[in-house]
Amino acid sequence: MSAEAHAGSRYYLPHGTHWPIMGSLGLFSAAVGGALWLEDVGLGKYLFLLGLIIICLMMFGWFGTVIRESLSGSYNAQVDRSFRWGMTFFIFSEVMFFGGFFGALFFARVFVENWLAGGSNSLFTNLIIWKGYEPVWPSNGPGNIGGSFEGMSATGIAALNTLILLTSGLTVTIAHWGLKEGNRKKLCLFLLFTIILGFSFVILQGHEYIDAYTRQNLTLGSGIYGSTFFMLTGFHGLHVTIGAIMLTVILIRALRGHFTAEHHFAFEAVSWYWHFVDVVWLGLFIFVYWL
Amino acid sequence: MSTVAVAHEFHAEQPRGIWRWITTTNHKDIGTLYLCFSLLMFFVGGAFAMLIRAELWTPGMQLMDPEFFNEMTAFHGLVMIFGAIMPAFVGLANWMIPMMIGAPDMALPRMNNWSFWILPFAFILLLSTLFMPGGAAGAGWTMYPPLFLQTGMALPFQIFAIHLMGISSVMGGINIIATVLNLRAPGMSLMKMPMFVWAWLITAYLLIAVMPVLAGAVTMMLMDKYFGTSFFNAAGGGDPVLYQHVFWFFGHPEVYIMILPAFGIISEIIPTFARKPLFGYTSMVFAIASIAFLSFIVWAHHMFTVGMPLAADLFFMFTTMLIAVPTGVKVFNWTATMWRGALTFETPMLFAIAFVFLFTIGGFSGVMMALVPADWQYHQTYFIVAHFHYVLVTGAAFAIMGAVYYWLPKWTGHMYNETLAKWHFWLSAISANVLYFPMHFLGLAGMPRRIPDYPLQFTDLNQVVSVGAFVFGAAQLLFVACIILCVRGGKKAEARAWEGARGLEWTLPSPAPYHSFGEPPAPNLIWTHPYQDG
Amino acid sequence: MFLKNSKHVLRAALAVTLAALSGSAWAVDLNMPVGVTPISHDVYHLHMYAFWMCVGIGVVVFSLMIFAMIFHRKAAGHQAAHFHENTLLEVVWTIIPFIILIALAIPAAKVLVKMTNTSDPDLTIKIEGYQWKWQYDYLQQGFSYFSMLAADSDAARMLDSKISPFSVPHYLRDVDHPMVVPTGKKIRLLITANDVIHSWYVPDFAFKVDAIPGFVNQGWIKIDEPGTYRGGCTELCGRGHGFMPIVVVAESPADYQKWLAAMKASNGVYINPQTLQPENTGSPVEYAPAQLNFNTPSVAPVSAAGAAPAAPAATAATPAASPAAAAPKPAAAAQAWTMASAMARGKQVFDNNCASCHMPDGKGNSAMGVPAIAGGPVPNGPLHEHIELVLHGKGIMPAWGNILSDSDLAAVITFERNAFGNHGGGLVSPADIAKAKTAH
Ligand code: HEA
Ligand code: HEA
Ligand code: HEC
Ligand code: CUA
Ligand SMILES: [Cu+2]
Repeated sequence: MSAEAHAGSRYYLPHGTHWPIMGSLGLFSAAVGGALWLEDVGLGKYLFLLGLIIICLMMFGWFGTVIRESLSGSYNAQVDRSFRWGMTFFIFSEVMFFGGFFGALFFARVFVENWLAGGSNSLFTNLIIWKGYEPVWPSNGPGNIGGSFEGMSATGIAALNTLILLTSGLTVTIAHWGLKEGNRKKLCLFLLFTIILGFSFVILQGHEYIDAYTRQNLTLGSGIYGSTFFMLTGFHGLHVTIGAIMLTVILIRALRGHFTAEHHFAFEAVSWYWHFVDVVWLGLFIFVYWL
Repeated sequence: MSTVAVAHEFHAEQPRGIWRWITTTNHKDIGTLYLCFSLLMFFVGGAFAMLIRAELWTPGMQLMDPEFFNEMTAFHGLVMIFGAIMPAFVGLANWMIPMMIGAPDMALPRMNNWSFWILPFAFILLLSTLFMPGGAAGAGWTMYPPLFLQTGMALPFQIFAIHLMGISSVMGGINIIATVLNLRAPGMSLMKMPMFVWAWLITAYLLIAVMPVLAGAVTMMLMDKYFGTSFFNAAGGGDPVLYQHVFWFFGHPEVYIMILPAFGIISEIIPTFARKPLFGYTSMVFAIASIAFLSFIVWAHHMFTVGMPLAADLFFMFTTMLIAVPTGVKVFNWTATMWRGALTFETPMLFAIAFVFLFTIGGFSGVMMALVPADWQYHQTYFIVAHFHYVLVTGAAFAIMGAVYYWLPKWTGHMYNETLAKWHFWLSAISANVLYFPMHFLGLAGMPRRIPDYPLQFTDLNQVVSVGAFVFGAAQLLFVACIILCVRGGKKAEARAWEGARGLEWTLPSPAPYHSFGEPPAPNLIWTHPYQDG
Repeated sequence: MFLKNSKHVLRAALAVTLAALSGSAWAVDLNMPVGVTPISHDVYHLHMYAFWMCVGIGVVVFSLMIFAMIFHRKAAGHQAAHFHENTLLEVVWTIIPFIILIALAIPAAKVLVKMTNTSDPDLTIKIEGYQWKWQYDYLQQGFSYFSMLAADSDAARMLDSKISPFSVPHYLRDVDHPMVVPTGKKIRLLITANDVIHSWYVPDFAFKVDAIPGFVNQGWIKIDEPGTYRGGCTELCGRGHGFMPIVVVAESPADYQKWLAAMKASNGVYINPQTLQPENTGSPVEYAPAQLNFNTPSVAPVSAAGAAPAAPAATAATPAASPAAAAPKPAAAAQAWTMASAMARGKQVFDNNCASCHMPDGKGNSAMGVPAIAGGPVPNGPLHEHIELVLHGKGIMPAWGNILSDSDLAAVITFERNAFGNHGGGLVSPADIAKAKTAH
């Protein structure tokens, strides 16, 4: 940890690296495998799995290198700032990704339902094709695609999950305070709470999904409601899972004595990510479950 | 100079051969990779265009099945946009931004490597679909459902290829933003940055904002095809037009992604050869920013015939027209920069001047198409094809060619062959107009785009277009020749290769050392920047 | 080849030069048509107005640049000035374009409001796009028919057809059954599609509206003068996108009424608007049932062919039976419904409509996800499932119920069950199809 001694004024420039090409090969293999899998071609799923494994190995290796460099004090404050900008804009790109799906949801709810029911300049859509269709929400469209189903309520698991995520936002912040105070016990304990909350969220969501498929007849194929519901909550759930895994890595690192009160970008990045996931959930809760 | 020492320090560990290029974290190496890749893709996309023009030489189907023609149209568009123009700009950014702002390298060099090395794989994935049973997707570069959903096994490959391109672009964008915001040399305040850097800063922001939206759009398509969702199916409460909204929310900013860096390049070249500072630096910055802002609220001008409500038509018409104002500011500022300068006409300047003329013509047709009633005539005809080739080829591509000639001496240490380059320019500039100008007439006379065969009355003009296309294509061989000859040798280039050039990059020796500014440049060097002159 | 065409090149090069030099007669051909509807006139004037505005701006900007390029050259000894700002100038050249844009936007908005006003039409016609043909549905008259590329163009356009397109009059601009409309009336067009997005475009009407599956768009036309107006599909819709032209015949209201009367009386055969004689060539000429009764009592005639043979199978002749798609066979009407005739006709229908996906040998196309007919479970399974599938489609497989006539459907299903080594067996009659349709 005698890091500062090395961290000169010069910006750290890594030498050649083989992690990216490995990552690209992993992505390529996952993409080819995934595509073949979708087309039911025998080898597809193995190739896909292989790709995922390569990507995971690459992440371990790459992040491992970065952690080593960080511990050995190669990164000065300027490098740290680069990481911050990088993470900020990565999160921004994620926001836009979710934005696309939220946009689809709003468009379908506000406009398409209305048009199918003959609103605006679409009178004949209703007169000719979807005779007598009335706008409703939740909707699986005039074709009753996927059969009738029960929509999600905002009071069940969703409310509980909201509570869980909001609390976890708090606990991760307390952990951060602990880190800044140099109180490692507080850090680790509250990190642990956060992780438990995160995985509870995922498990509860799993329950919600099982219920949706078995009891509510709500599936991906349940028209536009099922499509938007599962895509939005699914991608969000995926992000929670990834976030929780990252928090776990951070916890392990914290237990190993990584991070100092001043120097802990990795922790902050993950907690930003966690807050982002939190905020997306609020959007989901309001627009998917509640309104 | 300290730079020499730094270069030495890193040189020792430099691997050799192909492994060096695969593992490099150096911004110049990566810039070179991007530029070579984009040149290759320009030829691939160009070869597709040549097939299109050959089939359209005369009425009747001569060479290919109509479905294959559709694949060519789609792949020509995709390869040119994602393979040629965008990587070329990222390559230029990689090469030039660190040198222009006095940085040692890009901010995140490892990720920089990854941004590039995803691309070849993405394009292998994309181009491999051409050889798949059932054929590639022949639904245009815009990939509208439900047609795109009729694609066979090629569909998931193409969608994943687009995902990969998106990942690459987003990482590239992040890197550029981090570099510009964080690695500027002391004294290089934001409002002293070269215009190319400004343009790229805003472009990077656009990239990060819209590439994920494209990823979302194609993901919805994948789900509709394989997992029974109803995003684009009316029976399920979705709407095929929903795709178009999401796509163009990406697509319109995308066209500015392909022109803003060009604006930046032109704003570097013109002052150099006019020997006069850029006119209206501040308003140039604000113009780019307003174009970027407006680009998010105009997308539906690509969809004036889908049956939007009147209010939406009006809104998108007005916002689209508004873009002419900041763009006009740029054109006028370039004119004012040339005004009372001491102009010389080396090849980069020729391309820059051609850019200003021809881009403006493309902009004019853009404004005409923004008028909804008139767009009912123009939409999906060759008038559109004319418009976007004026802004993309004689706009973006000409700017890239100008940039290559402008900075080749800095990259290679040699001057290019001016005579050959002038031939390249004049052949390109003339044939491009023979190629694209008559397309306006074809469109006005009602020739739809994306058709493999056409009624007899369009024959004459199509033949003019095809002749222009073949000459233009052949002229590009001269471009490659110029580049190769310049890499191989030529008159030694000075540090300041152009008399009027005044950016920081010209304070480094030619060829530029492997690591640009190991130590930040002296702040007094920054003051020689053209924008602050006088 | 090249020599023959070089004539065209020369002519066109000349044309472009001439047009560039003057607004001569050539320019008329090269410009947007003035058209024959009130809207098309407005649009033409808007287009020219915007064009001259742009030319004006272009002249100013380009002359300034050219002036600088000539007089401010270093070679001409010009010394560079050093100014790089002038706030007044910059404000001025922000405001002037803004004013110009307002001057453009106001007339454009006016025309837009006019063209979207579809109220109070005299007549409403529904247009539906299919891969790759159009269906015109005269809602209030209760009949409809398909319109596809004329046979001579269709033959010439094939790869290696050995037929020169130059020998075909109206190459790619002619259809078997044009849409017929009266002049001087406000006609509301309702536009939709069956499979993928198409777009219905006739330049002379300045009318281009996308046909979107699941939605109905609208617009209107009012044609000044009788004539034949041509256009085509302008939204990429697959392999045949370039080959689905539009022909509209506009007739005086009196002539139009005559055509209407003849159509109504023709029992399902398309009446040529010029000769008022029944058409016996070209693609399916039968009426598909109108899908909507709109403002008028339901007249929806059941497909003539399907309704006719009330008698069971084998012997019943189908009076209005159509020749199979794009294969002129006038004698069909007289043929008896036998295994042999059904198989022969079924093969034609199959080759014209199904083979593109299921392949001529019935082996299917696994890459496209199209199953084989040869040995397939459906053609060798229960008959009613087979009929259901073909009528209503599934996934990419189109719903043929409204596209093919009952007799064509009966024929092609018979064919599928007995060809390619299948043993589904049985002769399916058009009446079976009609029954299956009503049963649903
Ligand atoms: C580099 C790419 C690029 C750029 C910069 C532009 C710039 C513009 N484009 Fe273009 N466009 C495309 C690429 C681009 N476009 C592509 C690829 C398509 C087709 C996509 C597809 O369907 O496949 C397309 C299609 C397209 C359409 C859809 C047409 C249709 O499908 O029906 C429209 C409609 O409004 C449009 C408008 C404009 C406008 C108003 C601008 C403006 O930004 C132009 C502004 C510039 C000027 C106006 C000139 C300079 C200004 C002055 C000298 C000031 C004074 C001028 C006035 C007051 C008029 N474009
Ligand atoms: C982004 C940039 C870009 C560039 C640079 C180009 C470059 C060219 N494009 Fe463009 N084009 C698009 C973007 C671009 N295009 C897009 C987005 C579409 C819409 C696609 C869609 O509808 O979905 C389109 C569509 C399009 C069409 C309409 C197709 C249709 O609607 O069916 C045509 C037709 O002529 C065309 C022609 C050309 C030609 C001749 C060139 C030339 O400039 C190419 C010149 C380059 C070369 C020729 C390569 C180099 C030389 C060689 C390979 C040497 C050998 C050649 C000879 C000896 C002749 N393009
Ligand atoms: C655009 C492509 C396409 C065309 C054209 C097409 N089909 Fe199909 N057909 C399909 C597809 C795809 C399926 C598989 C449907 C499924 O099971 O999801 C199919 C399935 C079938 C089957 C069931 C095969 C089996 O045994 O599983 C029959 C029978 C059939 N089609 C008949 C026809 C007939 C008759 C025509 C023409 C009148 C026709 N098809 C035209 C795409 C097509
Ligand atoms: Cu129908 Cu294009
Ligand atoms: Cu646009």
